[in-house]
Amino acid sequence: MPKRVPLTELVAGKPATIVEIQAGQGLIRRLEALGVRIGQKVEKVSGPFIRGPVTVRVGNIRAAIGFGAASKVIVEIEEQES
Amino acid sequence: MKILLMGNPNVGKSVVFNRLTGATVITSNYPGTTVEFTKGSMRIAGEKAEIIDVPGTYTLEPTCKAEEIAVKMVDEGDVLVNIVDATNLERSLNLTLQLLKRRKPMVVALNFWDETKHTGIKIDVEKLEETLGVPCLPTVAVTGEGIKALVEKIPEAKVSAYDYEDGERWHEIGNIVEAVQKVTHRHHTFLERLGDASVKPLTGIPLAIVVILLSFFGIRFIGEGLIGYMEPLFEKYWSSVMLVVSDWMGNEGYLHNIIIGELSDEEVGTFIGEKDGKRIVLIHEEIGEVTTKDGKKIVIIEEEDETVERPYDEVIKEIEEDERDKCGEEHWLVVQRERMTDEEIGEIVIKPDGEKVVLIEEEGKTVKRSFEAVIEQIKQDKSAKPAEITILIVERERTIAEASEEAVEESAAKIVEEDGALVAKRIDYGESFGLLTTGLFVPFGAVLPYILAFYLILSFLEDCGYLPRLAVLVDNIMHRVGLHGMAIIPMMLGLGCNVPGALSTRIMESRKERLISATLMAICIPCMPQIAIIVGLAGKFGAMALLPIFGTLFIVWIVLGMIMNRFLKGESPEILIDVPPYRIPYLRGLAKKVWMRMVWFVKEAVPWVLFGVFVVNILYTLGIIGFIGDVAAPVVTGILGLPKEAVGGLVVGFLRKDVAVGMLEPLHMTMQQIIVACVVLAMYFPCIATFAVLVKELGVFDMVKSAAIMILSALVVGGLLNLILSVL
Repeated sequence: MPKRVPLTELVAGKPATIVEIQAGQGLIRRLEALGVRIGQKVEKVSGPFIRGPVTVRVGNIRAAIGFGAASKVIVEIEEQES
Repeated sequence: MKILLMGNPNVGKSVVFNRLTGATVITSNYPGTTVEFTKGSMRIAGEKAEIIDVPGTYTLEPTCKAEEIAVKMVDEGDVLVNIVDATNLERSLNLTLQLLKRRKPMVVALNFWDETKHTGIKIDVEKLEETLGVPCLPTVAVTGEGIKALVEKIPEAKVSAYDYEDGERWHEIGNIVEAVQKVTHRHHTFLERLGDASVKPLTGIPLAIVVILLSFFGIRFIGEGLIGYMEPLFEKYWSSVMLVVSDWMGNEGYLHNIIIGELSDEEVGTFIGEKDGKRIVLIHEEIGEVTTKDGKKIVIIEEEDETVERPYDEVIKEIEEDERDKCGEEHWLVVQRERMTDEEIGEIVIKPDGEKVVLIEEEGKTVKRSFEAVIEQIKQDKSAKPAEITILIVERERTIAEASEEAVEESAAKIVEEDGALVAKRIDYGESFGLLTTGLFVPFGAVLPYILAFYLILSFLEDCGYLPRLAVLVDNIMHRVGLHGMAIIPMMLGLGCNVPGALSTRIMESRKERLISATLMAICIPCMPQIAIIVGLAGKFGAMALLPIFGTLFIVWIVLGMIMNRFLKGESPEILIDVPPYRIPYLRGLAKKVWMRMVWFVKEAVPWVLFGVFVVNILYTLGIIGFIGDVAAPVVTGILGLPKEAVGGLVVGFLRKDVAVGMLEPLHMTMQQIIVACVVLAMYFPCIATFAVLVKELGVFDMVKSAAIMILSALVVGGLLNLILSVL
């Protein structure tokens, strides 16, 4: 069973897939507009440093997401291919 | 015909706009540079067309005020030029598909086409054109590639027949991207790695500190360097012109004082007789303080911006090379106070009978007083310490011609004889307050060099894409004051001028955020013109004065922000921004942007400076400043500890803050008073230009709230500061 964690707890540099956004339509729309949506592969670049924003890479996009919003984005960590 | 330039934020709409119209709007590398639409015109196929640069938006479901403006404008356009970020096709298509449904003729420009190559992206333009049903073509706006083709395509703009279910939009986008785009794997470039490093706290915070320090020293270095060129221009050449004008006007009178201001008098030397039929002037000049260091006698010489220590004998030898120059020593009694420059009391001489006396200048007369008595009197003031210092002086004997020549070497002067002395009458740009003297010196001599330096650095930071990264790093602090990281943009722009700073508060999403960011910016962020004059005024005390001024403003920013966050109703959404890739600034674009900002300053600020100086003269001549000073004395003198004439600065500060700070110069205040006055002037109210923008942005009700906060906090902070500095 793949592990599910909020974006805030994802380890930087580890590939993951967004599976759920536990938020209202408004936030989901804004995240979508930036290119962050369910089904997308993400990689965390940095954060959150003392509840600061999380910076993620989705394809060619880098987006900074506030701590609160980032904790509502649930990702599934990909199994390491070994 | 109305053509709208639309697209996601930071895809280069404004660059395309500048290319199309030859007009000039500010562009940079962060989302939200354009917060207002700009109109321009061009000819397309012989027909005049109106082009509108619309603020960027990701969707037609707006999330902030700048985006709202964009969405409202769609209906007004006849043709849409949809600028798409070719390196982020998917995100751009989201807006594109929404725009297609508005059924307006559209052309799609795939901008940043050059960047697709090194990001490993291949887009099949023909296939995209086929799918969307509107003309598509690649462009590189900064270099102008593809712009001509874009202009030719505009008349071919088509209404698309493309249709989809709203709920299926992302699915549709996925299909399109799959069909037209191929991505090949590639390694991260250096800029990308640097980009990531500057948002990671561990590497980003040290990087930010380096960037801020470099910017600070860069601005100082460039600013002071330029002032070094500007000052002689004024002191030597403009002054000579002004002295001629002064002569025409008879050297005095109301009109003369408004245009030129009063000339300053400086005694060059006194007449001491004749030699070879020529009258001789004795020039008395102080070289520096004599003291011992490591057992050696040295002279401390204060030069323009540095203090040099040189061996005593060496200095004497150098001076006495000219036989007519004789060195000597004078002993002075001074009063030393902590954190202040020494105050000279008088020269100490020993009478033939051995009694030590002090020669004190009192109302133009020299009075002899007993040394002990003066010391006793000084000691009554506990903060004051009497001290004896030795000054190395030189007496030069010169003919009038020689003396005059020496006197005008550095700055132009009119040399006259007055009461047995040779006097140089000069233009004093700091104190004269004439329209053509101080009125021109403040904007061009003192402020413009710093404006140029500031905008060079800011424009570079904007164009390379650093600001959004700084926003990520400061997000945390901004949360404490009810804002989020992007609020760094109005603060940074406000440092240049509060007007664009106030406008850029539009990138903040909620009303509460806009009120807090606008108020904090207007209160605590002094604009560059004001900073330049503050540095000029308080800089002579060094960091001892500058640190408390800017430190206080920073502390007020945090404390006031926290209070407002606590008590103002409304929500503060979190940061959610696109972090654009680092881009190497396009130099011609950067130079053009700096130039535009300079022109803007000259056009917008200089008339206000002149008007401010004019008002200063009128208010003084009519005695209005004196009257307001008397009325406001309990507050200005009682609470703030300032001389009541300082009220003039508060009155004029409403017009122009730089002129207001400049008005403090002739008051010769103590360091403590200068600190308090600079802080209060920065805080108490925005200048009229900023005020007008704030009323428009915040609405009258919120502006009244904001103004109340400003006045109240300026009084509280000024009073506290005065109290703290008095106790220390």
